Amino acid sequence: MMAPRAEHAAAVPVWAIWIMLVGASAVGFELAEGHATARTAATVAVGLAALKIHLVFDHYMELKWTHRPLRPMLAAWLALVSATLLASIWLT
Amino acid sequence: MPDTALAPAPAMGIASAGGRDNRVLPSVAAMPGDSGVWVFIFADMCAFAVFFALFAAGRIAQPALYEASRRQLDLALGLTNTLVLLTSGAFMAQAARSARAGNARATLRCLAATLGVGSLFGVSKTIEWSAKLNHGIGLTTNEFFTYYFVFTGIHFLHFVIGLGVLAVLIARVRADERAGDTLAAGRGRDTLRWIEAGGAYWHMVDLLWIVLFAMLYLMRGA
Amino acid sequence: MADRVDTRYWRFCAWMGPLFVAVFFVCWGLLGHNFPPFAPDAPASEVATYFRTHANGVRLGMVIAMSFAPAYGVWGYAVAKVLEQVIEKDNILVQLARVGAAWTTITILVPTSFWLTAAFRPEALPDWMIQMLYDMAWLLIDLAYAVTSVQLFALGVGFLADRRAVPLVPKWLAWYGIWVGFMFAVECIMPYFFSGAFARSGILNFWIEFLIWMVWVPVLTGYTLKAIGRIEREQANGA
Repeated sequence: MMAPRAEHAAAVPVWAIWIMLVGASAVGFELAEGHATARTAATVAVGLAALKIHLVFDHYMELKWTHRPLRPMLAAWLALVSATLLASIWLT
Repeated sequence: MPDTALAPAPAMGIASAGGRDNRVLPSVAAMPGDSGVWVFIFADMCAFAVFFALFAAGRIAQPALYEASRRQLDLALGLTNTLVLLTSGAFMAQAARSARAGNARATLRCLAATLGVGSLFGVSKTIEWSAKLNHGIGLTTNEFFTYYFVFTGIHFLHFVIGLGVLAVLIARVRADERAGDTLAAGRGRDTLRWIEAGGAYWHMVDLLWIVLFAMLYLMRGA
Repeated sequence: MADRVDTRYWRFCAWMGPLFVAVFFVCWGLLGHNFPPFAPDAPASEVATYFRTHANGVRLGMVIAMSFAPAYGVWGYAVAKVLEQVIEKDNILVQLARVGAAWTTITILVPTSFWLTAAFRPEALPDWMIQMLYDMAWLLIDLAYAVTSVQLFALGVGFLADRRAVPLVPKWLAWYGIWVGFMFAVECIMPYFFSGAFARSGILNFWIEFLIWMVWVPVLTGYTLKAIGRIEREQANGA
């Protein structure tokens, strides 16, 4: 069995993360039909989604404490997906 | 066959038994769950990345069609779906932490809540799809709705498989409890690995929906 | 798990997998104009003209593809022999891995015979009929995915049960196979599309679906060959 290499940072309570996720969802929803320009609203929606996914990766999938290479791989995935969606907003 | 060949693989994703009291986090060195299951998860996420790229390319080519179609979606139902999955995912994360802490009762309660809350996604998705079909909007209406139905449909298939995985996990924790196994030793340790692996899968269902929600419902076009 | 096994011919049979992929790619894929296929919205005259002007090439391609179709089944049986070293010989997963491979052979043989029919006397057939044979073959070979999924799932779940410190087939490859089996289900929407990503020639239902399967075969063969060596060494050491 592998021993922990270093001390863990304290685990953030699951429900604290949940509040952030729900908050981000609500803001994205509000902006979708709000007063901001379409491009701004769409960009913020993608940014909030990326933030939410980052939180899920780190705290629900527990990758924050994981050895390489999984965390950088998923971070690359998120960067690629976000860039793809942003391109579809800014190239139209 | 020599005995060494049959030695069980070293457990991964379990906090070292080095006397630490707080075992809610996975070992720093290990991946949560079984390392192989991450191949499934990552491959699946890459397939969805291709889907998202297809959608993005289509949106660039026909922005007006995509925006007009997006406006026909029910944003409130989309948000409901999101909140349901996020809440279910929170229970799943709590289940993994309870399992690592060796609390079988709390693990069972959290897994049941994950399954119970998660099931509501099936209800809201059924309502949403049938409303679309009743309005004469289907798979071949236009490119946006093709992607809408196919991507949410494939995602739904993942969701249904996830419900099955959750049911198996619940049955397994119950069986371990009856057999007197704890989550720290023997068969129970395998159960813990499966909870982590099943959890990673369930969180993937969750995070793919987060992208789908932003992409299909929230990305307002000009 | 079996006691002592006779591993003669196993390697030969295992090599049939990559051989099948190579032959199938050239004969069915290139000679038969199936890699990539004609798009479903291509006019019937385009398909018919190809079959008329390349009748001999298509005939040769399909005849060789049909002759080598059983190689897939032979390969599947070799992999199933290695699976027997992981789980019990009469375990249902071993049986399913075998029939999945055998059934897949049939789902290759039958559609290739349709393409061959189209190339048999194409000058006597109307355009639409050649197109229909071409469509029929594609609908069958794609929608028979579930047969191969049986093999993919059985091998995946079976190899995951390996308790060796270093499994005969790595867990990631077992999971990859299970994933391929699931991904195949996307073929279900193929009949609804004449163009785009989900059509039989599209990025998803052709490029991704075929490539993830065609990669799985040689990679699993590599591990099968390594596993055969290990099984022989384990037997020699245990003797």
